[in-house]
Amino acid sequence: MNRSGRPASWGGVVLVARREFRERFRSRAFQVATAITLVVVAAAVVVPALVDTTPKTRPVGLAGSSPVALSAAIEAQARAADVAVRIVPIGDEPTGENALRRGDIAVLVIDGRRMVWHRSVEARLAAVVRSAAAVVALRDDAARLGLTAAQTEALLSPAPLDSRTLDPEDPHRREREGAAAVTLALLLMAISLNGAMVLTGVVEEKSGRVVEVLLAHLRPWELLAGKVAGIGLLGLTQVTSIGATAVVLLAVLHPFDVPPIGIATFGLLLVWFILGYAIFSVAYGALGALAPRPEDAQNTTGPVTLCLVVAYFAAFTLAGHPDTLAAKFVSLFPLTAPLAMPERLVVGAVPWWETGLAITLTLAGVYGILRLGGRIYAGAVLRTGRTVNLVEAWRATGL
Amino acid sequence: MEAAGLELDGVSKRYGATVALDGCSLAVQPGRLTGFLGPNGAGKTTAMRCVFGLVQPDGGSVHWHGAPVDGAARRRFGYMPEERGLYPRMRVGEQVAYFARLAGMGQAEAGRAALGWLERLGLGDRAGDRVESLSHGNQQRVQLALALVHDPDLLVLDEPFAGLDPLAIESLGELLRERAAAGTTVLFSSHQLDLVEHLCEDVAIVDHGRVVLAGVLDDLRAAARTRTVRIGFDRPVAWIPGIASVRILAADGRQFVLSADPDADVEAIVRDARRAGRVARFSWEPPALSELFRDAVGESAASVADIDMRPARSA
Repeated sequence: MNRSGRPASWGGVVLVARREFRERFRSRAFQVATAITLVVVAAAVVVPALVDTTPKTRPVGLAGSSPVALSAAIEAQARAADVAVRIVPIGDEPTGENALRRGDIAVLVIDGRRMVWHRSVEARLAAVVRSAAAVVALRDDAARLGLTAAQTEALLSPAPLDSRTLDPEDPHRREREGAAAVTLALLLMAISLNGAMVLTGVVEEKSGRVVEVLLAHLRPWELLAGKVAGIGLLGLTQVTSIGATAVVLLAVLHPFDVPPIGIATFGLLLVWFILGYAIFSVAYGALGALAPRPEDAQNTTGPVTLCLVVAYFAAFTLAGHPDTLAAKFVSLFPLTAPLAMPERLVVGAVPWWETGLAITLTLAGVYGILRLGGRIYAGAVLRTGRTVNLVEAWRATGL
Repeated sequence: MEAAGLELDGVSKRYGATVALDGCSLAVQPGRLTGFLGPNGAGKTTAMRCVFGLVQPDGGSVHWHGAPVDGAARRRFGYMPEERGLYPRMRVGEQVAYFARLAGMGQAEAGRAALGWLERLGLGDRAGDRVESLSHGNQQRVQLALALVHDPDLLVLDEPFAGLDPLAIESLGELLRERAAAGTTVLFSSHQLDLVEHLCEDVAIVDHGRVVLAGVLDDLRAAARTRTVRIGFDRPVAWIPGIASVRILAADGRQFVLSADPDADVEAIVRDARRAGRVARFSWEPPALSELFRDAVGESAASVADIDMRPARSA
């Protein structure tokens, strides 16, 4: 029940939100955490860019009386097998063995007949050398049998086999799945960290008793809404600045293949962060108000954390099968949608109506949890001494 | 008598089987200091919370100048709860200004008012410090500043004197008197009965959720069914008063505090005492607040003040 006669005042909500934003923005803890996160994200992009990750060229040493055509044949076979090789002429066998031991060459080929390895045989490289040697031998035999060069080539290159793919795989599939996993982890982190801030804020106000003076001026929902809004705005600032840093660095440095994720998707991800944060932080705040002391808050908000973890695993598991009914359900259900829908968005195209429906349903969920959570918060936040149970909080329509 | 500023009419509140307020009725006059008394658990804090809508009564009503209390009225109220609470890491000046803004003041006005009150309370040079760096006593002053900063029409203070040193008690008392003189309606609770007697024009005594005695303190004392007699002998004596309506409240051999009927024969009591020894001091006066309190809430009340053994004031 609302206090009679007081008009809904957004002014109070704005004042509370501004205090939360300012006090937290200026706190050393926030500045240090943001700086560390920025450094970690930047390092995750910059370090791979500095380290050359292209596959190594395998040096092949040729020693003894190699057939003249062998180098060319090895290079041709390597190209066909998608192996990068470099031919290194070696004087004699002992020199070659030393080079092998030093790691200067990957394999030593003697007289075009024998291969020597250092510790183990590289199967693909061995196959390349073997077939090159076979081709060289075949050409020699063909020449001895009197075939012309053209006949030999025709013999060596049979009619090409045509091939086609029924449902071509997205060439960026692996990158997309990787990006989706990273997005999911970051979203979970952002939602739970900012939700935890709301929780701590509520419990500190309650256990520090400042809430009684606050509620002499504000309605409980104004206080909770202002807190959620202020911390959310701060979280959004943080997430956006970290995200923008990553995007800019990725665009400039190109350390690895980034799937083509458009600005629209990026914007939608921010929308989902806001929605997910709104649902879970209000729940954290409401159930946190049941706790008499900060150390009890873990218990009272256990269900919210569990819900968040379940949503994470549902999104994670179902991401590989976006067309199943279960995947559709978890990406529409308000408690799981904030994690499952972004996952689907990054993995592949989602019909616009599904995105719209998911956002609408989640907004309805946010409204519901605000009403529900607001009432629980109001009924619990002034009751101190012991943990308030949900039924008591619900019935105490004191505010 | 002028119309009451704050009026509680038959306010009830129960928590499960516990009755916190049981038809509590109370009128607080504007421009006067009203002391709100009662044993622990009598319902004082619940009654104060009802004024601020922190507790929704099960029944009864709360009126301010004849109209039900609403949000606009509450913005003109100042509250200092029994359990003090501040944001420990927020700076003192900003915190006071924040509460001024919550009470509806503009930004510049709130900043000015906050600094003004901090100056007044001797914390002018601490405005930029974090609350947690202040001593307990200074945090108490900040708490008071939160209640005063918007210059409220009604000031409700729950145990404002608890934990203060004598000088701080003195200056807070002065401050409250000054507020009342400026037209503010002031209600505060306290267990320090002599302090209330010294400060307040009006008192209300609450017990088991209802007001059992309320009114102008002098009138209540005058209307009491007993008179307090204080007799001091120049040396210890063994005296048992021989008058039927007189009984001993407290005695240590030299000082005797007696209770007598208002129409008792004063001369007879003095004569009776003189038979025991030389009477050095004698006073006849209405009962002290502590005695009114004890009569009102009964002997069983945990916080009954000891009978005042100070030398009698001249009657």
